[in-house]
Amino acid sequence: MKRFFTKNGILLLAAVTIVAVILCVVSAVSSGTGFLYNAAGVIASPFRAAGAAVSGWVEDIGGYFRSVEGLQRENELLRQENARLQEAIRQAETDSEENARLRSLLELRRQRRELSFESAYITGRSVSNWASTLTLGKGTSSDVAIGDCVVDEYGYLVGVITDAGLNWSTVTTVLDTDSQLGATVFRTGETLIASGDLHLMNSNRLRANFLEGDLTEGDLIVTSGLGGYYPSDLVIGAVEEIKPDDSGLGRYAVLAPKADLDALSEVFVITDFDIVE
Amino acid sequence: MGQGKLFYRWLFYALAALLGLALQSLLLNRLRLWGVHPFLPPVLVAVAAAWEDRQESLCAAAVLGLLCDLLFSPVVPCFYVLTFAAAAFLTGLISKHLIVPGFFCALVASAAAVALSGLLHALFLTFRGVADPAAAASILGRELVLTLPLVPLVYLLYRPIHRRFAAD
Repeated sequence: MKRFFTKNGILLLAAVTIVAVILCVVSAVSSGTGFLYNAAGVIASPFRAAGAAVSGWVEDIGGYFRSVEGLQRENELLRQENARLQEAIRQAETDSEENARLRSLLELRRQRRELSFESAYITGRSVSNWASTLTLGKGTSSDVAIGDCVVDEYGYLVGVITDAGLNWSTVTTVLDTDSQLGATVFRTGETLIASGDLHLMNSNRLRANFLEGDLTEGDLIVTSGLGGYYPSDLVIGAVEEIKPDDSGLGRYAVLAPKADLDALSEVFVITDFDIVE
Repeated sequence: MGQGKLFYRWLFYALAALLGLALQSLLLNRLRLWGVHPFLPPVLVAVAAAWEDRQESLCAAAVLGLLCDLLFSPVVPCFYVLTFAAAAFLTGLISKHLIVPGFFCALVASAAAVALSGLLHALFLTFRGVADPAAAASILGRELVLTLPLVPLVYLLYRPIHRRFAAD
């Protein structure tokens, strides 16, 4: 064996390196998920699932040690928020009826928002500090496809599917430097681009570039849906801070994502949508 | 050394490395300080490569890289195969020409391996036009500061294996 390694070690390494480089190049030039990468993901799926199960078990144990006082305080805040939301819903119901009457008068198409969801457990997370991705235990066999949006249980945007194998898929989260989303300010309707930033990623923040407009702290940023690639009105995050950019000509907003990316264990992939505004 | 000894030596290293990967996934990923967490895999490669035969270490590093590529989502496919093989090669040069194999050599090799991994990440992101050199340097620095204190842990984990088989 040693003689084999001594004689052929460099050849073996060269072969592995050449295969690795070919895979990198194929991946870079292809728009979809390559066969070899897909197969590797399928092989790794059981290991990822086992790792996620153990990890979930460890987290569950940790969860028992949460402070009761903290939970009571959180419960009280949630009660207050619930009361405010109940009031907002009552107002929204009245507005919705009025809106339906006005649309009928103007003979506009009825508003419709139909989203098809596929639930999926997170079986892996990026271990490096240079990317923010999640691996899901569902893939093309469950109609999950590249470009699908992924949300949490509250409907907040988590990211977009960027790789999909037979029974696995990779979500590039809104924080990742590869993430770029057409967005609008919910309050004003102004359009902007929300994108990941290497400098902000480690503090769980992303940025929104804009040139003009009155963006203020606390403004909600949602997906624009322009172009029809992604559903509109998925909440990305809220404006936390506004800063001048490096050129000094424009400004950018630091966004805090609404989805708690560190605490997620299950997400929902939007496999299809039909929205009429 | 017989085939059996060689097999068992690398089997024990593999099991120790798996323990390190489990530690990374279950614990270290959640230990975020200054926005980053320690990144142990390059250290697992470097410490073993600092002691062992260069060509065997290269192959072992490529295999560990392949496992990382399968388990974790790399920036590009086979990123860890290439990075870890390069880290093992670099460590081989350090242990052969610069520093006598031992703890200090493992520490320097680990620093080089983590730095190499960070630099390659930064290079790929720069190639895509999404990396800011200042931000990349900052992440790399923080990653090094958080990861290097874990080198003694890996060193202690691997030392009994090295001693057991080096004696033979």
